[in-house]
Amino acid sequence: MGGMDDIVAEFLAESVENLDQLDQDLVTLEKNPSDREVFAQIFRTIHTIKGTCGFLAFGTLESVTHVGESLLSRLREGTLDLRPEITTDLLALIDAVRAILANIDATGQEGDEGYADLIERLKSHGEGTESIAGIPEPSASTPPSRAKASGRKKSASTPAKGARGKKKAPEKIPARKQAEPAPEPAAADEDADELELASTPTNAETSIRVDVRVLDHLMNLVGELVLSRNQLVQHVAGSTDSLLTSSSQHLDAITGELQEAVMRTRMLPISSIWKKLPRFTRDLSLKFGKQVEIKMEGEETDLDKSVIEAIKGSLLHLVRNAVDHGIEDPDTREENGKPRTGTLRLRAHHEGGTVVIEVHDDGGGLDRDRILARAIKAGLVSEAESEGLSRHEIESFIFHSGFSTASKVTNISGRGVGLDVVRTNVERIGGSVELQSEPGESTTFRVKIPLTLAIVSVLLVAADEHRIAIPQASVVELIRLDDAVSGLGIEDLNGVPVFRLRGNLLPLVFLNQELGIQENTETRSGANIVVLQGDDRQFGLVVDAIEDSQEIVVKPLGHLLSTVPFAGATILGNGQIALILDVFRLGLAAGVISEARAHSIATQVSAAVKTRKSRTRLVCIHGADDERLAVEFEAVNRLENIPRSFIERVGNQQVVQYGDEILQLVDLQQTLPERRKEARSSPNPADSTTVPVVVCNVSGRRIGLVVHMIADIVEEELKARRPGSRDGIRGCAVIQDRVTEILDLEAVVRLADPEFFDRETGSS
Amino acid sequence: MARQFCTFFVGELFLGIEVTRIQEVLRDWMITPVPTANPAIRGLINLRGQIITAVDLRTRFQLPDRDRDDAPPTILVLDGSEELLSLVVDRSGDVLEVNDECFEEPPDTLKSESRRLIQGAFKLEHSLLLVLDIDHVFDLDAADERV
Repeated sequence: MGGMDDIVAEFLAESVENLDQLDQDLVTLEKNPSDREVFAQIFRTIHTIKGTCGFLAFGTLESVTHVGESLLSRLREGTLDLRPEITTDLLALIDAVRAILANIDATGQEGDEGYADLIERLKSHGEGTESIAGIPEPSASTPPSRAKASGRKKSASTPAKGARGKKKAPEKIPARKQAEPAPEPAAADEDADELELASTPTNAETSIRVDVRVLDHLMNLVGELVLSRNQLVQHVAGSTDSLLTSSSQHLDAITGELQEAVMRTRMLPISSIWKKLPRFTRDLSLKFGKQVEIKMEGEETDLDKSVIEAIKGSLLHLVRNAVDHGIEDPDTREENGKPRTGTLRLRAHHEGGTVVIEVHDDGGGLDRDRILARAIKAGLVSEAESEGLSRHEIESFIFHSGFSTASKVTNISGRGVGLDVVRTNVERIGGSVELQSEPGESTTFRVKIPLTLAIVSVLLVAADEHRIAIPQASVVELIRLDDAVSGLGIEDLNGVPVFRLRGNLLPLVFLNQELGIQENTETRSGANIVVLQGDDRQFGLVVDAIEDSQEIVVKPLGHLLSTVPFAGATILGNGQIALILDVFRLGLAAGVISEARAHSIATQVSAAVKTRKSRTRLVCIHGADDERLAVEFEAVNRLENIPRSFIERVGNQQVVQYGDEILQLVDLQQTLPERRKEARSSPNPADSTTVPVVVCNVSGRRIGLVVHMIADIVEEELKARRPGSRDGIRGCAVIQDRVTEILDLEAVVRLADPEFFDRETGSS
Repeated sequence: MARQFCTFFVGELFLGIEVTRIQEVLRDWMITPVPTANPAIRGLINLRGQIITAVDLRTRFQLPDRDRDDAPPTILVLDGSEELLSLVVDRSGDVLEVNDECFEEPPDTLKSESRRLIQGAFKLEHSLLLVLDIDHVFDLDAADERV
């Protein structure tokens, strides 16, 4: 019966997909009852499910969908108006269908629930017009009309329906169908045909359904191919055989393209989760007595399937949060001079290598007084300390676990598990959540997530003989302690090793110790600290050596390894396996994250009180004649010393090979207006063999800023800001008592290379 | 009815798994250890780009670890529907055809934990072939609870 199983599986997959669409359509229809196109869509979906399940002998499903179809046909004829109760019951019908489908999927049976109640309710809506049961139509009469329909469908060249026609064709065969009490008013059937014909072709004709496992396997193979390619290309590099070299180059290019193409196959538009939201919002707003309109922008934004899976829950939570806590009830809104209906706006777009999803509501915003009162009550901050907290600091309390400002706990939100889980989930996949709120106006959550989880940029470190990969998203900075300094830097605070980093105490975790590796007793010279961000807490990871930064393909670990502090593994260029560190779990295991949390917040807050107001981190650069410049730390990728001999010229640009890419260099001295003349006469001190380069991110692309000297990284409150006086400068500020010019990177790049932003980003 | 068994050695034990369950046999293969994992997990192996967990049967049968100068272990990759798993054994033997009639309950001489890992034994002419219970071998949690 393999063939039958396949048909059932296909039926399930198709129906589940259709049901999601149906949710959305019904909500749309409620707002705009005259939309015939949407109506046709709904009718068609119910009709298809009914038709197929009759053939597959799912009696309950058929009877439930049947009354639904009859009700819909009545609505369509206009003998009945679509009232909210009817919509609710229709939605309940969809839920019932979903439950039955889930049962079929799990057990192969429909389950015992007969849904008599629901059927009764659905029937009652259409009461009085014509009998719903109708005259049982002998199934023998069905095939001709169906056959006709499928014939017409084919001529309309819409494969989606062709497929349906194909599936229905065997209906003549099973005698089972006749035994099934399947009353079907003929009118409904004809209506459906008519509606089907009226519909426009879908994108089904250019797409096919593929099992995700097939894609995963494909992805795996391509990953392997990439590794083999790397080995081959490396090997061939020294060869004089021109045929070999050229074919290896060809292979190189094709492999790159293949990898990209396979990656694309795993992409899904974000609408695949968003389409559940209108229904979800409707249910919520009914429950809370609110009026909410949902608007969505950028539904077509593509994301890797695994990322979509990972953020689905968080996104639903943010929507729930907005409807429950954000948007006020209609009366309050009216009093505050707002329209009675609140707007929930979802936006998604690409930004560099990441996707940004915004959840915006025009509700009451965050009530800072209440948050603060709550935080004081929960002991997160003392009353005295709370005096000097910034707006942002107060708002971020809502991300702490066990925190809820809802005055009463509802069954939807406000159970104290919420935003902290959202943030943890998003950070786990290397993303971040930001919050913006205007009191009385709006609240916006900005979720930034990577495009894919399959390929991650990591930092490779060594712990004894183990190679461990740390996701770059968690790495804040790297610190190298020399012998002389290390004695001073690492301190012991009640048995916890800490490092004093720019005035803050950074708890340290020794990787060897955490992994239970026997420590080499001989004293090593110096130490390497990787500063990591896990949860809302930073900690330093002491490792034996910092090796390299790489783009790697993530492979899952088996179920036997579910307890280790590793998120996966990868295969390096030499075939060796490296484990990928789960920073969050390591922090938990080492006790620097959860246990210290309440405590750490207090210390963080008190530190923040001392140095309150917003601080900005800057990388300070010295110009040739002791001129002070600074770049915002956010934009800086890495600081490098590049040997002068590595710098090459391409056209009128200076470039350097940097990892897998070609990094364009911008010489600050030659670029900034007033410096031009001087620069020609006095270039960088020629005696040094290397030049300091600040690798920056400018609008999602990397450039190298050649500077005279990298002085320091500071965290300063920017006092006395004023606008810049020349091109390429964003403004001036006093940093460490010196007037410092802050660079506008985009403008600097434009000065050096006006066409930079017009050129296509070349893929590596 | 006769069945084919792939045989192998772990310490003094002569063990077998039905041939159909084995995907391939690897010799001289690199195993990457996983710190903090269950001690029975010898590490991970890279099989043409797939990362597979390797469970050491020596640890599972509570035998002492291999010496440094012992011959490198052999890895049996099992054919799994969901996730590939592998076993680390001392060395592999022949594929034997055995008759169901000579199947017996596990011998009493086995220690209790080891007994759980054995489905039964085939009495052969010169030796006793122990049939491995694969599901129990990979049930590491249960083993932990007992210890």
